[in-house]
Amino acid sequence: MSKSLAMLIRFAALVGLASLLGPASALDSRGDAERLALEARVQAVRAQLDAAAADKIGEDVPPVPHAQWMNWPNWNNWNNWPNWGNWNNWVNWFNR
Amino acid sequence: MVAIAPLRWLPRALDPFNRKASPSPLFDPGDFAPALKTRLLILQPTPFCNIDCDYCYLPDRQSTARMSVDTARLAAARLREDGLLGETLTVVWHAGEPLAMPVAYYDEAIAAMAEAIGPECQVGHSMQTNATLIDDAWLALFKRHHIQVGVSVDGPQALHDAHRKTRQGHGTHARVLRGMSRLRDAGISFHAIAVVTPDTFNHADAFYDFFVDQGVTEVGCNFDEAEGLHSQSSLSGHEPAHAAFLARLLRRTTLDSRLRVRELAMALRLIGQPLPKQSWKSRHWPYNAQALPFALITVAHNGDFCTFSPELLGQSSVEFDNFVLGNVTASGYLAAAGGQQFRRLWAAILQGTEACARQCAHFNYCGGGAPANKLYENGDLASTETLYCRTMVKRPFDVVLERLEQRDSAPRGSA
Repeated sequence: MSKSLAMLIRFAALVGLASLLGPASALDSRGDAERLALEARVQAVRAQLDAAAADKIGEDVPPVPHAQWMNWPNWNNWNNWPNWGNWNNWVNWFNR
Repeated sequence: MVAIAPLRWLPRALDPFNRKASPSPLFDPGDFAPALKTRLLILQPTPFCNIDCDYCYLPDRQSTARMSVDTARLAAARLREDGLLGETLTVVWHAGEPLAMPVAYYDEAIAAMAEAIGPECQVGHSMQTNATLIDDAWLALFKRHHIQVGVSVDGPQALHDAHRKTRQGHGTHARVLRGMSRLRDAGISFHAIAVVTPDTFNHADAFYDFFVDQGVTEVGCNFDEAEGLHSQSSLSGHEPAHAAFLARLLRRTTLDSRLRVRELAMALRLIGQPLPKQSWKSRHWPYNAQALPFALITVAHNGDFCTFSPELLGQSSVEFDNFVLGNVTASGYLAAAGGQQFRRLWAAILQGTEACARQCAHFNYCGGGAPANKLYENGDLASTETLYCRTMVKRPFDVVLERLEQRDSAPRGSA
């Protein structure tokens, strides 16, 4: 086995080890933990919003116009989203 | 969260941070559920802009080239030929200044597109304009075709004129105000999009009051993204100030509800209900139009087209052949998806989406970020977090969520 081949094999082994123990796996784990924590907070608030939706508070306002493509997916179905997403409704509920 | 750039000196297959990467995928529209439909067609009728904002990313905004009516017709006809039309389609006329084209052009182009698309799909047209060229003829056009108008204005004069100037270096604020006044007088509703900078953050109340005084009911707060010619964002190093700015706007809007701030309203919406899911083969992601093939399509004045982030088209790239996937005068959109160029582009964007899914806490509320910003900020479409993510998605989301949590924990009537 040539010296250069041996070095290449050692390098490949190091790369393989890094792929198991390296930052990618640490980031993945941290991503999972942070995502779960955030989701728990959102679910708690969502329960409050759902309760507000049942109250049918506020008055309807026209749908939000298209603004820019970067937010398009979120604006597109504005009319189809529950009434509590209506900004005025939410503000009214928020302040009562 | 810190994005770690892949080891770019290694081939992608040997990159240890990329061990879950997809192989270059074969494109088959049948692999997507729900079926792929184009929601947004962005047409660049001319690269020319009559003003010269210092944060603009467009490389050819002095060019007076124009899109022909036939190219506009083909841009629409290809959607129908490829089965990409759903029940609704929004056409956005954008980049450079759409009002630099003749009014009569739009009458012809809109009619030709309507004929090409047919009656089954409801088409709405939008224009994003600097408002400096609005006159009676434009007002009549907006009304005639029910065009949704967005005005680009950065708030009070000092903030606006610091960046949005003529080629002679003069501020454009007064001309924009005249344009907005004409829209109001004609009874045409419009929204505003502002580019915010660190200077804006020191004037949150003046910013809010400006739009209320102008009768604007909705404003979007973009920022000067690092893209194309504009290689450095002024927001770098000022993110805490941006968070305080958003919190102040949220406070104001919940006090009087006279102005809806797009990013905050969107955050509320995302907190209330998750994004719809899009499936590709066995994978499921929150819907993100910038990461999904042909959900949005951008067509340049000469018929060149691209999908994914609109900002990609017109930018130079050796690896991705300047992001031009094809030309509507020569072939359809889906025909381009069989080529190696599309597959390279999509493979990189897929890897970026998968990396976001693994690493980002906000993935369920975003679906994979903005490929153009990944490329320009991180140098890699397959990368993850960007300043754009933090500014447009994460920070508004966190500000609204925290405020809602405070509301939940406060006695009723004290919020």
